[in-house]
Amino acid sequence: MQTCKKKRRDLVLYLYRELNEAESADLLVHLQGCPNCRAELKELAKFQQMIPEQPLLDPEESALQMLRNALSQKIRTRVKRSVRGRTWPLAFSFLKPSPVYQVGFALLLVVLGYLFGRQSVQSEQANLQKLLTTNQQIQVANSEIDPLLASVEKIKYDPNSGVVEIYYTTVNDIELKGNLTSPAVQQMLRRAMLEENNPTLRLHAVKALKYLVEDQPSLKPELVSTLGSLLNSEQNLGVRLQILQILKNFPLNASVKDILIKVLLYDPDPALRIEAFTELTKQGLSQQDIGEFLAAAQNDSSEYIRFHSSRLIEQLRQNSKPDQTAPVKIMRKD
Amino acid sequence: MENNELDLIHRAQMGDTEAFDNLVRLHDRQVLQLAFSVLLNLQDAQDVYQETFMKAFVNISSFRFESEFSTWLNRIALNLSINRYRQRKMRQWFSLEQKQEEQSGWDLQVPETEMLAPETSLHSGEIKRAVASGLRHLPPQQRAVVVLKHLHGYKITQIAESLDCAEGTVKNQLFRATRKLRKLLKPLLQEEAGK
Repeated sequence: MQTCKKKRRDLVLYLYRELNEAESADLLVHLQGCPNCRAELKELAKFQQMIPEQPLLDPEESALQMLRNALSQKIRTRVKRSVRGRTWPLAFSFLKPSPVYQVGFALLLVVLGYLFGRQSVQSEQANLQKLLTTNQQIQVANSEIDPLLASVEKIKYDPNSGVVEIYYTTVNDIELKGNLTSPAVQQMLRRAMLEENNPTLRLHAVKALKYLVEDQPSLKPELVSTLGSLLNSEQNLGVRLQILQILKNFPLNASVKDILIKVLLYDPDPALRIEAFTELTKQGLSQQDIGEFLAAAQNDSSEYIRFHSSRLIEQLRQNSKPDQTAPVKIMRKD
Repeated sequence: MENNELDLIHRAQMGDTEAFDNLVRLHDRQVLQLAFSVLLNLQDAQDVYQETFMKAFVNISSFRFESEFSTWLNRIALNLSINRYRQRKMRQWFSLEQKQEEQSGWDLQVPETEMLAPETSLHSGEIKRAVASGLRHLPPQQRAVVVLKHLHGYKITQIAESLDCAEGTVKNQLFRATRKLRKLLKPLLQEEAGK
């Protein structure tokens, strides 16, 4: 039985003609005395005959041609990409770089890269230094200053002309010293009053002008206009009060009068409105003033302004009679 | 190996793509048949066809004429087919595909009719489907041994060379595969005996 089990494998190989002569002879001897193995051989032969001895797939030539075309294209694409490391022809295999050369070449590239990179950085730094220290002086209030580079905004290169345009901004700390009468100083004060966010700086600018006006009670029209604008927009009461103090030094001309009327009619602080009202009424009034500010002042929240405006209007109306032409004045108690 | 084939191999080793194309033309039918016999799926077999020849093209300089060129190609194709079969099994293990295949029973995922081997009768076609279905139940290496031996008529030594294993291993696998197939195809055998 044990022998039969061993011979079963040989039966398969026998049918496939894969046993040598000695093995075949040995099997045949066993088969003569073993009916089970003979029956098994018969069954096995029947099974082998039943299975067709041909491949499961028999592709047509046209189907294969399609596969060949796709493959050929793939191979040619690969060759084009030049994967030479893997497809070195034998004739040129001696040109194949050895690992030692490859490492050496890689090191050489690293060293060259470092040297070129260093040189490039150095040259860039030198150019930047040159730009920063270049003697492109600019004129500011009768003094020359060196511009300091803040940032490069844009670089435009024209390959035709070879010209490079660089847009950069500069930043400088400038100290301006001068007399209050200096136009540059006045210009900077005006700019500080209009554009400076810090109220303390605006206040200092107004105070500086106040000193100027105390010595010489006249200002350029643009400065007066600046004071008027600031008075309208200024949130800080101290600054508005200082401006009003300045304006009080001037004769009541049309522009000053306009500013004062605006304060009287629109300023939220009653003290300032009273100051403006007093200033407006300290000189002689005319019928025209009723329409300009006195009538509106009758509705002011300040009792002082309401009372005096009503009284002045009444006086003006009485004076409008032919025998009374004297100008009307407010006599303040203080 | 014929002189013409030797010449083609030498030229292909020098980078001649046309010579390689000719080598493909000589052996591609067999490569596709082998791949299909192991994978039993035409799409997979065509993928293995492409991979086999690409690999052969890239590594042709390493072919040292120690075996037949066809055996060398078969080895590449069989390795790729077996690997692909294992990957597919692994994927199926995690997906519903496996269940579907189990349910399919005797149904064979047959390729387009023009790709199938010519059939002498409807009955032989039925047998072929049954054999293919039986092969599906064999491990990939046993499947390759049966296919190479029975369907392609290879000698045991050639199969051992193609699968890169010992002849004894091939003999054992052939015996086990035959036994298993007989069991699977028993109903068909009985039907055949009744006729």
